[in-house]
Amino acid sequence: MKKNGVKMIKINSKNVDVFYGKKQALFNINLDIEENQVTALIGPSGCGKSTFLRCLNRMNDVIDICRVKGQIIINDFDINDKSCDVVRLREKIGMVFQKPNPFPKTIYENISYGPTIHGMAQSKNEMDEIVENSLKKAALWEEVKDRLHEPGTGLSGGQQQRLCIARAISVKPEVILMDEPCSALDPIATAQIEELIDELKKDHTIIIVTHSMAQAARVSQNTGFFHLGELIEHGSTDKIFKNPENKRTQDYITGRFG
Amino acid sequence: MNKNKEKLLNSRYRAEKRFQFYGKSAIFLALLFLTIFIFKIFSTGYTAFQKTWLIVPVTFDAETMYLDENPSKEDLEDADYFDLALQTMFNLDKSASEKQQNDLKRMVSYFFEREIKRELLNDPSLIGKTKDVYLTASDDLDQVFKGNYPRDLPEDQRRVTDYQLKIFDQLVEQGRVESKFNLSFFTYPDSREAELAGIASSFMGSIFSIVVCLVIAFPVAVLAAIYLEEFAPKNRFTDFIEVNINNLAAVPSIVFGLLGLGILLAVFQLPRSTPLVGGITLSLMTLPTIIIACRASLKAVPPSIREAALAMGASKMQTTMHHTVPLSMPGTLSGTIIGLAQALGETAPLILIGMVAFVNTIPGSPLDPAASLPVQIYIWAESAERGFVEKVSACIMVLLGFLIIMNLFAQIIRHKFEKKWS
Amino acid sequence: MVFFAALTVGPFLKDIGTAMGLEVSAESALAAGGVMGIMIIPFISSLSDDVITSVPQSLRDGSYAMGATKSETIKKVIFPAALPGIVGSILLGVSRAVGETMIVVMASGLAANLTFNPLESTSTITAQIVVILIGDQAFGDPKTQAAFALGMTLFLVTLSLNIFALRVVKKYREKYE
Ligand SMILES: Nc1ncnc2c1ncn2[C@@H]1O[C@H](COP(=O)(O)OP(=O)(O)OP(=O)(O)O)[C@@H](O)[C@H]1O
Ligand SMILES: [Mg+2]
Repeated sequence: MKKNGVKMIKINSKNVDVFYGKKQALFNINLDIEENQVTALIGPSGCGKSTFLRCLNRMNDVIDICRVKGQIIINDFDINDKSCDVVRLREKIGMVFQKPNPFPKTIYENISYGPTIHGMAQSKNEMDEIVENSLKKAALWEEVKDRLHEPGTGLSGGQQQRLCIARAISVKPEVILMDEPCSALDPIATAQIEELIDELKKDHTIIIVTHSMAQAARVSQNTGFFHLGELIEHGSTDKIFKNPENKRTQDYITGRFG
Repeated sequence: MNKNKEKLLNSRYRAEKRFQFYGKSAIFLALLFLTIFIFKIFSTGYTAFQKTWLIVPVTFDAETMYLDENPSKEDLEDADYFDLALQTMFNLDKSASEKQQNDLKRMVSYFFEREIKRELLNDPSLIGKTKDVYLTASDDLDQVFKGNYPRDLPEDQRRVTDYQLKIFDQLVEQGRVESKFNLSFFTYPDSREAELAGIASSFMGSIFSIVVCLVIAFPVAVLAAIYLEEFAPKNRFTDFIEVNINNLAAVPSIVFGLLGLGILLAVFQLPRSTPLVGGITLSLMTLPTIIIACRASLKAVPPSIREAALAMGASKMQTTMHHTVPLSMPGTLSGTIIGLAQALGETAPLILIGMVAFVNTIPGSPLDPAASLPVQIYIWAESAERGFVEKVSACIMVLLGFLIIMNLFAQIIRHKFEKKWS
Repeated sequence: MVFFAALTVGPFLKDIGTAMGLEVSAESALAAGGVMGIMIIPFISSLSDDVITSVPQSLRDGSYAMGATKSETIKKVIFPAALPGIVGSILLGVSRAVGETMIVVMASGLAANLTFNPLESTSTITAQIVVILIGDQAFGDPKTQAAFALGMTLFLVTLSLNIFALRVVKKYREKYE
């Protein structure tokens, strides 16, 4: 989105290196993410897309051997700084994982989990509203409104993934990270989620990792291409797909890779 | 609004701190108990690994032994060492009264005769000569020397007389009392005399029982688990069996002891007090543990592996035997070892099937009467003599050592060989 | 194992009791319960540890990604998911320990008295069975039969405890899975 013709940068990463133990997984990544746009990260398997995505909400903290260097600036604030509070950070930056991972609780409890721990609802009514809105936004409301108090694990794969998206948006994050959110889904569910992403970008900044070129082209405005831990090229999706500067990018996009 | 958030966040962090504090205190408490436990056992038990010896000069006088000039080996075997042994002790104080002579005799174990005999058999040329011989001190003097015995009690409340103490102190002064590693604790069977009691019989009894238990429980349990997990249809009957196996795992061990008593001894008339019966009883107890462990690790093998094998045209049997079972073995084995370790520490069922009997021979087969380590502890703990107190702790140390080794082994198997399926 | 603890921790509890001005018999229900409680700590904690590690990492990730703290994740996600296993391990630990309570009561003062004062000497079912059966009785002997009846009581009690816990766990599962 442009304000007075100037791109608004939401996330600004500078010289990011990531190591798993001795092995370096990301080399000097410099990538800016535009606000209220969808940015797609593409690249062959193992090139470090998920690793980069997990840097943005410090999920790599969970992995003992993982070390992150460099700066990632969100809202003028370096999230790798010691003073950064991960809990508050993750409240602002939601995440949807590759495999749906609903909690073994009811649908309602799955959605109300975030708002409860962050104290977002003062009353039961308010909470009901949050749950309903989140589910509506995730295009799941119609399917589950009569079974809110049944286990979330009882839903189909596509429904579970939308439940996870609803869970992520329930705390009104500024950024949503999605790691191959459609890899376990059928074309119809995929189309629903792509539609949803388009809808969500009004209120959220979205970064999506995908293996589907078509999907990247369909949903994203910006694209970054990773290869062997390096960011080879990034820019507007149109440009990357129509006339990439780098040969490797071109090869990958046209499917002539490796 | 923002202020509220700040407040909430702070209280969440306080909750976090509290939670960590609870966790840490729980661990601290558990460690504290463990330390007390280990400390008490070690501090009372370590002295049992030392044994006190009196070094007494023995004059191998042929006449006292009623021996001829040139005795043959058999003569030496058959000779009467009792008088010689008695004389040796009396020589410690030539002016002793009859009552005091009795005290002198009681300063060593009743093995003193045998210890002197062994010395001569080792070196027949000693006849007519005098040599210093190591004699096992009586358990009371042993305790005195180790400092476990209250010397300042009035004499009539002590098991050591003043006279014995006097002679003993003289010996100490002359450097004739020595403390050495107590090998006999490991090589002697149980005895009524604390200074001669060892764990050899109960140790062998435990080994035999565990082997019997393993031989019976392992194959049965593994086969049952494989059948239930891989082949059995899912219906009410198998559900019922499953519930029952879980229940059996939680049944107090003494009930299995009753079962052993009521069926193995009463109906099948198997010999009482033997490791065979003990092992069978323990195997009843270990069976559910192994079945549960084996089933859990079979369950943990992802279905994709089975499907891959089946898709290659392997039969159900081949799939199970070639892929599923080998992959489940680490979990099964570690479960088995843990089950055996539990069985090794079990007391109650063995007492019921009579393995609590006093056995002063070392069993050579599972059909000989025997005790087991935990039962030995029980027997000694019930003895009133002070000499057994340290033995109890020492025996616990030996058993603990075994249990720790077994558990370590189970851990190693698990972490080395178990695959993590994500 | 409980048995070794009884030999060492029992007297220790008694000392503590004395220090606090309480007359705690080393064979009392309190001491027996205390020893049991302490000795099943490793048992329960190692079993529960297994259960807790088997909760999939993706659930933890999901919770952390929502901005939950570690303790919130533990209390609200991991613990409920692991609860059935934890209940099972506690139950297993307790019923196993019951079988060893005899030793706690063994040393002396086998007072088969009915008391609700946890500080007084009492007996346990297990101890009674051993006391009755330790001699060589004939099988038809009423005493032997009494011991078997006691054993059956013990069995039934643990059985119903188990079935009860199974019910609880099942109900819980139905709700969450
Ligand atoms: N937990 C981990 N421990 C060690 N190395 C890891 C870990 N996670 C990832 N790696 C390594 O880091 C590199 C990048 O992995 P990453 O998961 O980011 O790849 P990716 O681009 O997301 O691949 P894919 O498209 O297959 O998901 C890989 O070489 C991988 O081996
Ligand atoms: Mg990935």
